[in-house]
Amino acid sequence: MSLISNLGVGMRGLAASQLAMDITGQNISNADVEGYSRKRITQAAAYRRDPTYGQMGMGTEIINIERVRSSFLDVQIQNQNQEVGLWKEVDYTLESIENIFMEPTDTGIQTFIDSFFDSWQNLSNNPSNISAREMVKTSAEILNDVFHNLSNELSDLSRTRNDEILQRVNKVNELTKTIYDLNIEIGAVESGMNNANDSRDKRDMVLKELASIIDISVIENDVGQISVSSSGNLLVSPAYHQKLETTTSVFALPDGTSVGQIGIRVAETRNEFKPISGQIKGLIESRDVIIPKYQEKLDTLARSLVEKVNQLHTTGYNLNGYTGIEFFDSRTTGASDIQLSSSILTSVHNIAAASGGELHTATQNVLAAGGHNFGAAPQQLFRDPTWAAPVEARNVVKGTAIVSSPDAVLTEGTDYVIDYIHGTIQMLHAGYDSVDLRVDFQYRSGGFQGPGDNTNSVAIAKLRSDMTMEQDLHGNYTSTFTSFYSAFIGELGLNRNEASASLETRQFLIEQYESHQDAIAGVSLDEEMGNLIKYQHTYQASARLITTIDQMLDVLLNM
Amino acid sequence: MRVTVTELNRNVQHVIHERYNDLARLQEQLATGRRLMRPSDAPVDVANDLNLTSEMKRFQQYNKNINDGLGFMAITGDSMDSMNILMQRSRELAIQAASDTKTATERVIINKEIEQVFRQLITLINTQYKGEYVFSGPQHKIPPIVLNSSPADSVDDYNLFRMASYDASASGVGTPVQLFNSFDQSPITKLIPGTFSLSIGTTTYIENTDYSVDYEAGTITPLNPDLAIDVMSNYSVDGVKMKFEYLSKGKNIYGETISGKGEILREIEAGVTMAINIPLEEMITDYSSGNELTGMMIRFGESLLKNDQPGIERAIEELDKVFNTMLSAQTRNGAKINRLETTLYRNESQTTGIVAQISVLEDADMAETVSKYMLTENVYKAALQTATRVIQPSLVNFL
Repeated sequence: MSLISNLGVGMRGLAASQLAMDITGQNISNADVEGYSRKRITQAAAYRRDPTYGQMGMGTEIINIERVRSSFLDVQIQNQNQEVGLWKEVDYTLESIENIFMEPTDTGIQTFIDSFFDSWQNLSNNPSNISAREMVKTSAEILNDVFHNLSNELSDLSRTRNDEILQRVNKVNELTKTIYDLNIEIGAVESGMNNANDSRDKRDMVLKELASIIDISVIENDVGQISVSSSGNLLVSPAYHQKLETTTSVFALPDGTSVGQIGIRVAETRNEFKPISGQIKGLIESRDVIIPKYQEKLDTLARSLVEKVNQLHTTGYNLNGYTGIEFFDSRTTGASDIQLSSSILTSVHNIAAASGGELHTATQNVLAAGGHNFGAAPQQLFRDPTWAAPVEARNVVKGTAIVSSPDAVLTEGTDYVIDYIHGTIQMLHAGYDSVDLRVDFQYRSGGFQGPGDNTNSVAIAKLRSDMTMEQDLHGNYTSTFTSFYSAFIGELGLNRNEASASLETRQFLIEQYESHQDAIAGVSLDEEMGNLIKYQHTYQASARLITTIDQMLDVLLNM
Repeated sequence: MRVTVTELNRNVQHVIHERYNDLARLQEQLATGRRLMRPSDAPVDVANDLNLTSEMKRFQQYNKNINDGLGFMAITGDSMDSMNILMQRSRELAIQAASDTKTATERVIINKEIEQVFRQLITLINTQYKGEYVFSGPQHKIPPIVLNSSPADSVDDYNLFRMASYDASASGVGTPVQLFNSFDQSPITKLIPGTFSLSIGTTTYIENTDYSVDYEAGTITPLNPDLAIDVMSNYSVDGVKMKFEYLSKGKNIYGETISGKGEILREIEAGVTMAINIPLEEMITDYSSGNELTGMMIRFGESLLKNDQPGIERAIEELDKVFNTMLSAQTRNGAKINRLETTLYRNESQTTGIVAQISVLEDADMAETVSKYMLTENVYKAALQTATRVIQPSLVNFL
């Protein structure tokens, strides 16, 4: 043991204190940086073999700098973050749908269904009043507009969610590239037996963000590099990273427009990429399951309304005693294209408020050759042409007419057309000009009580409280328009509650885990200040040791 | 446990954020006065709320239907009340006229009053509500009974065949022939007694001397050979002039007479409809004898004109029967009004009940919400204050 080696002990003490103060300074200045883990030095006593004392101290030594962090908690946070990502998107979609339906307010569709049926009631009170008829038409048009609007908004929502998938995929690619770059850095540092603490902090942050977008599983190798895979696809390995890419398939929306529906695949393997959690899953779920479900319910409501109202309306009689008129266009496929029939649009006289009509079978209608030539005026059909004064057969029932020549049955729309309301027939080509044609059909008559009859409008108004929707096993209807709609709004509320609750639970769990992680990895200023003072004092003491030895050497050299 | 700056920060932020959310929700409730803003606030309540609101609107519509029906039936009832008074007057006059001491002239004078009563009855049968004939049933744009006159005054009436006609050229004197409309050849019946006059040129012929008329059947029997002619082939501006008034039933656009049958319905409760009209026939026809008001009044007038005492006595009998029919229709109308009023009362109390239920579901309890708001506001302020105190100090401040 010599004084010179003692000087070395002092030097090492100074160096160690200085390094420790560096680390403390780093910790203090990064105290509020997100994702920063506090660093700690591992210090140990240096020693040598000594023949006399066995081991002899040689001062202190910094073995390494390590970060303090629980990787278990990081994995927990990543797992919960995937669920948060999923539920956040689902919750957002459901919230948007809630806002679209605007219930319970005076502007929701329920209000307009009510006013539609109110207008029929009003018509029942004044069946021949033109303004009451206009009201029925107007309220139906407003209802149609509301249906169109809701349907368009749902389609828009679906389109936006679809577009967002693309942005998320780009983000995933950016993040996997960053992980790959950090892997290289960490590998270079840690293969030299050092710790790449700050790169690891950064990588943990990136992983956390990635986990909110897709589900991930992570494996680390012996030099600290990680492999990330998602839903069975390896996205990052120490050697390479793999991009996701989007595909577009054209998909028709109910409102008639189409959208390029986005699919995802792994760029190199061309495997379809189907995340089981995270934001992308939430977006796909919104687009493919949630929005179509409510769209379908809305369509069902519109279709049932059209079907039920038309069913009654076609049996009713208009102001002039004609029947068989549709109220809504029967080609309606759903909420997006519900509209009034052309008859009602032409004139509100065609609203069939009166009821009645018995079914009769017409007989003996034979169109003699020559009379019904192609290009001639439409031929009138009669109830029974053999009567002394034949009565015109108006209100022919659609689908019951059979026109036949001696050899063949003719095709409606190709060979002839029938004006069902006026009971006339017209040929479409000259092929049958020279033969007699026999026409069999059914017609309605006798029911028309007059323009003051309101039986049919009362029946249509009553649809509001009738069971019209959702058939059970026996084919009986089990709900009214209102109860169907309110049940579906109730379901929407419950779904949203479920999504919000799931989101909140997960967020709460993350709060808890992050709180734990903060307790472990966070910087405590008090602690750091304590350390600072401690290292200051060891520095001062080490300096004093060197001064003392210096003085001793001085004494020795001046002897 | 180590407590670090980041952890403290996170907790403070979390708490402040949560309290702020609470405040925003309560503020929304206070500003709108509504508890239910979106389905997820309370899914079951929202579904119930939608059902109840729809039900309330339905009840409000039933209320309108009932009130409209009541208006219609009140007008019907008023018309029946007046008819009742007129029928009583007719009966008084009939009893007077039946007396043996009445002379033929007096009976003709009584007929003058009966004629006015009859015209008034017809006006009442043609009563309208909102421009619609209440006794026409569904054909409410068409009057149930039309009082026509046979015009024979202008050149046009002749040229357009608008005057009445008969053809007695073949049957001659003493045989009744039908009066008919020269325009469409349809027979004319139900003449108003006392309105008939017949002249050719300047000669006015006298009823029961030169001719006799069956007012109900609408036949004329020429007694003077001058009148045994075909009016149609002898017409001229100065020729045969027949003037009278007669009744016919209203006709629809197809020229068919309307029956006045058929119901005018109002939905007054869920699934319950009620006819608010009284068909004309049920009011003026005695089904047991087949007598109806107009025929009976015409026969009565004819008996008075012809000084036919047994006819007058028969008329009293018939009048009583028709009167009974009318009374029973009146009672039925009254009973229906009662039923509607009861329904209206029930409807209103049900509506009140539903409105109260909706209010419970929808409306925010202001007192509760305000006190909750105050509480949350205090908690929020406390959270802010503790945050400022807890975040600042660390060992740094004390070195």
